[in-house]
Amino acid sequence: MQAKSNKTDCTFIRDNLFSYVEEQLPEKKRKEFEEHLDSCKDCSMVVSGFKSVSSFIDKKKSVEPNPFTRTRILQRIENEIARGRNESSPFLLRVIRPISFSFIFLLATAIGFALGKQNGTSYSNTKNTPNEIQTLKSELNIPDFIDEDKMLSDIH
Amino acid sequence: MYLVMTDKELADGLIIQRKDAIQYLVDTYQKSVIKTAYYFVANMEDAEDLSQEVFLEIIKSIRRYKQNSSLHTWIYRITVNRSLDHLRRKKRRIVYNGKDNIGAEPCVLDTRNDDNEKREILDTAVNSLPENQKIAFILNKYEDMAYRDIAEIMNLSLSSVESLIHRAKLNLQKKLVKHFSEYASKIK
Repeated sequence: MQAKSNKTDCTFIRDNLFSYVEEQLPEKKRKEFEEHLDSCKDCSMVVSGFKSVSSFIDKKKSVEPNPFTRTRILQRIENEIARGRNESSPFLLRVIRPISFSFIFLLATAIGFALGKQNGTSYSNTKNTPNEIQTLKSELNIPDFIDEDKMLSDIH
Repeated sequence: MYLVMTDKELADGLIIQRKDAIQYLVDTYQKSVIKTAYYFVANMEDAEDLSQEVFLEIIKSIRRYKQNSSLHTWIYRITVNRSLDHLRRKKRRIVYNGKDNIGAEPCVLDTRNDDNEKREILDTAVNSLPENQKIAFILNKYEDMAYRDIAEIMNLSLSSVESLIHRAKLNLQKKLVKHFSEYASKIK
């Protein structure tokens, strides 16, 4: 550090940079501050660097967004809303749909059983009893035992 | 089509996702949302992407908006939270990749630095502040927001906000002075 040529020391300068840059220091303190800068090269460099960086806050404020951003935002919102409408509600997805599928499955199974049972009954009804078979055989002149060798020799 | 909508009219329109309400919301708040996000994330592309997320969140959670505070304040709060989430995710990614520069001491400054370097030094210093100090400082210095409004956004008392901003300035001063002092001692 350079020798302090006035009452204000380097610590005061470094503790009051914002107040100085924002012009919040009382007049008397401000004068002392600036007098110190004239005599202290280190503080002068620090203040100059601090000013240049803090002035960048104002530069950042002047940044303007891309004018096409509005269209992109609206498009994104529209897409999300459309997607939300296409999707079923969570309640429907989580509760009603599985219940419906289970009900349809059970109903289909019950209908299958009922139809199967109905077919089974009609089959048993059509079954001929041994007496009926005997009657049919005698009506058609079918012997009780068929001699295959005899049948073959008759044919030949 | 409304020329001007009250907060209630806008909120009611957004609940039923009326197109004119959505357009009014974007037209009215897009600039402030993007700029606020930019002040936090320090990258315009990221800020513009974030703004889309912010507007989607506004529309999705509009039913949670309590009309005893202004819609503007509520939107600011969502923007700040989204921006901080983005910074946290970014920080986690950087730490994971082993390149954690956030919070590190700023590089030695050259007073002839161009705008990009100045911006980087400022952003690094602001980003290294504790989260609450950073929010209060950005809203006050970049957005020129009154302490009362900052207190409402941050759900804090006025005196807490004053204290946060004061401490943020002291911390920034300390960090920036360290930079310039190192530079001054290097060129001696």
